[in-house]
Amino acid sequence: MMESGKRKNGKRRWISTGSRVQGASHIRNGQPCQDALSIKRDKDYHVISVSDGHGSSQCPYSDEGAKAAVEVAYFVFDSIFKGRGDPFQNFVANKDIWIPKQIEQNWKSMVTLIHGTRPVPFSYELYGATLLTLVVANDFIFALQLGDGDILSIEPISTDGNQEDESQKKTQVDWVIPPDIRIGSETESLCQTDAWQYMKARIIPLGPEDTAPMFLLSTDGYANSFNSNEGFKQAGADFYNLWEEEGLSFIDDNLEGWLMESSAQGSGDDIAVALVKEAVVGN
Amino acid sequence: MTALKTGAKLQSQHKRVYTVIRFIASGGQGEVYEVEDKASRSRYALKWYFKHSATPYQKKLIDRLISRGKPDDRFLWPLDMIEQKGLFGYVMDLRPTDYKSVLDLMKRRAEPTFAALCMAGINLADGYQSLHSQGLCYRDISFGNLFFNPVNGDVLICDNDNVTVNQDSDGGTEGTPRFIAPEIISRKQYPSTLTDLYSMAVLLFYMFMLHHPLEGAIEANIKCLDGKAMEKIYGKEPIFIWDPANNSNRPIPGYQDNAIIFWDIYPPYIRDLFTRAFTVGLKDPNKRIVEKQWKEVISQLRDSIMYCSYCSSENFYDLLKVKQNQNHHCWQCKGVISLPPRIKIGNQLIMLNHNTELFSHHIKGGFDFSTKIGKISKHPTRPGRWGLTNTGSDNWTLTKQNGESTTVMSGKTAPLQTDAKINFGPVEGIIH
Repeated sequence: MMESGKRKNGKRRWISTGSRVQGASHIRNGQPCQDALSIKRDKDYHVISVSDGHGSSQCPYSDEGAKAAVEVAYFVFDSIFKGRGDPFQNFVANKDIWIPKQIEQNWKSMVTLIHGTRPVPFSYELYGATLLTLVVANDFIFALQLGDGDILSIEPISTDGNQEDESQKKTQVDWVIPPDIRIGSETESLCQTDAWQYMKARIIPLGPEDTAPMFLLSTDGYANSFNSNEGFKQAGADFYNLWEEEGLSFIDDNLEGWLMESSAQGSGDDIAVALVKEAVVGN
Repeated sequence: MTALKTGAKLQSQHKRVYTVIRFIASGGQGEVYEVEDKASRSRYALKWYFKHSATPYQKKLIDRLISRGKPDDRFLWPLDMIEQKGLFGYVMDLRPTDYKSVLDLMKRRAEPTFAALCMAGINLADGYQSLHSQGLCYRDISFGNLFFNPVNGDVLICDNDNVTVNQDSDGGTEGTPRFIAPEIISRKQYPSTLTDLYSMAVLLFYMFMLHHPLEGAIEANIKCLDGKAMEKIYGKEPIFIWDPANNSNRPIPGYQDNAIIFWDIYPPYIRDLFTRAFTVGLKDPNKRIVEKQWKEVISQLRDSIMYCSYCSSENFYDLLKVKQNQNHHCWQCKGVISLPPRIKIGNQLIMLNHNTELFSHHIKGGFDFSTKIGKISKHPTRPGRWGLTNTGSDNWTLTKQNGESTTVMSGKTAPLQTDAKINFGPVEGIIH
């Protein structure tokens, strides 16, 4: 754990990584990977997005819809940072309506352009995809979610005096945006009319003394590879402990293999996973 | 990732121990949790401030509000304070789960009838009038802090932690972007009851039109709605989207459809009131629409609800159309609406639909929509015959067109006959 006062110039620095793999069943059926992953790193903020193209017969171009989703998310959030005024205040003021509407509108414009002159009559449904985005900045975290998937926060449980219990390495794992109870496989999608209305957003300020948790974003192919929510949350805790003990390069070297294994032994679905953690000065 | 963990025990100023049950929501100032006072087995909400919001000024404000007590039961008022490690929060009553926010309305997670929406509008204006009449200013009216029951329009006003005496310049919040009055954005004024009136008008516009009154073409053309852009649209150069004298900020079809669709659904008198609120009321705080005016016009709107006989959608009676011999077309199915019988009581014209009820407000004024005095009922044996049943305690006198008078005692029904008069005591109504 990083102690307060150790940040370079008082600025928080982030490290992020991720991978996406073609699902085991998609490989068998000759389907492309319909999940998209985007990690954009600026010196002051990272914008991390995953998207799950629906992949059904009604959505034959959903892999492109998913790519468009993660690109649009970066475009919208980056424009807020590059705009005038305090980004935190701009996110607070716009998180519920303007940002969701911008994402929907820009995604719909982009897939319309992508479709171009394809012979199939155009509909947004052809490109249907979810979107999960996490923006991590110096003084806040912003999360946005449309449809299935998970954004987890993972942090050590502090004992008295905020000392981490090294012998136990206990972690607290929470959903940043609590999941809906859902029956069946229908998910909310960017292709819906008024998709913005279904987006959920949360902003969490970070004070100078706060140490941010680690975050995990994943498309639903990952959580569905576990037998229970507890098993999935344990995977989040394991990532945290591996990062602490083995370092980022160990995760980078193995992540793709772990995800392929999860898909093969679990959901069979495509999986996109991203991890982001506050950097400790020196690493 | 929450500031307080589930199961944490917190001792309050009132020496109660609250246990954190679950995280509910977060906003710009802090997070809200459900907590339990095990001693009384009662559950409450706890608003816990983020570090940047946990200022000594905020704490002093909450201390004062706890001592002062709530203006009335519609306010989810601070009841108790908890401090821990330099941070603090306050305990308030939990909002019942059937109450929805205006954001829920915007996102169609709540779909009230127009009748319930009107009651919510009346109750909202009445709630803030109650606060203002006590010399207090809310300072932060926005769609995050009003909750309404989508079935009956009852309201609850929460996030009362910014309430101060009127025109307090001691610090505190200036409000929520999009709801802040232009004169605060341009640094000419502090929050006051007059700036509350502006924020309240924005909230009412959101409720009835599902859109912001200043977000038209200018907002649609901005690619990055940053601080400067927002300052221009909502503060320095605000232009009402339906300003009759300036069409430069009309809503854009396909992007701002709610503003277009809903504006046309409502009758002219409510549109006129919104127009005044966001034209003269934008620039001159003293000419803003006050709570009583909103209550009067929204009551009128409520009384003018009628149903399409084809699709059953609620529509609004428009006297102007009747005077010009125009049909009413249903906004939903476009069918021609058969006008229901109506009763004129003083200046009020009330549609007599299958479910119409008359309240004390209709005969005594005062916006009392809880004391029922009459209701429309079906004739028990003759289909198609309807009457107005006296559900109050006072007798009425019915005078038919031929001059014949009869007493309508409590529980009895007066038939709906054209030009019949009903004397309710304080006032007389004529059926059309």
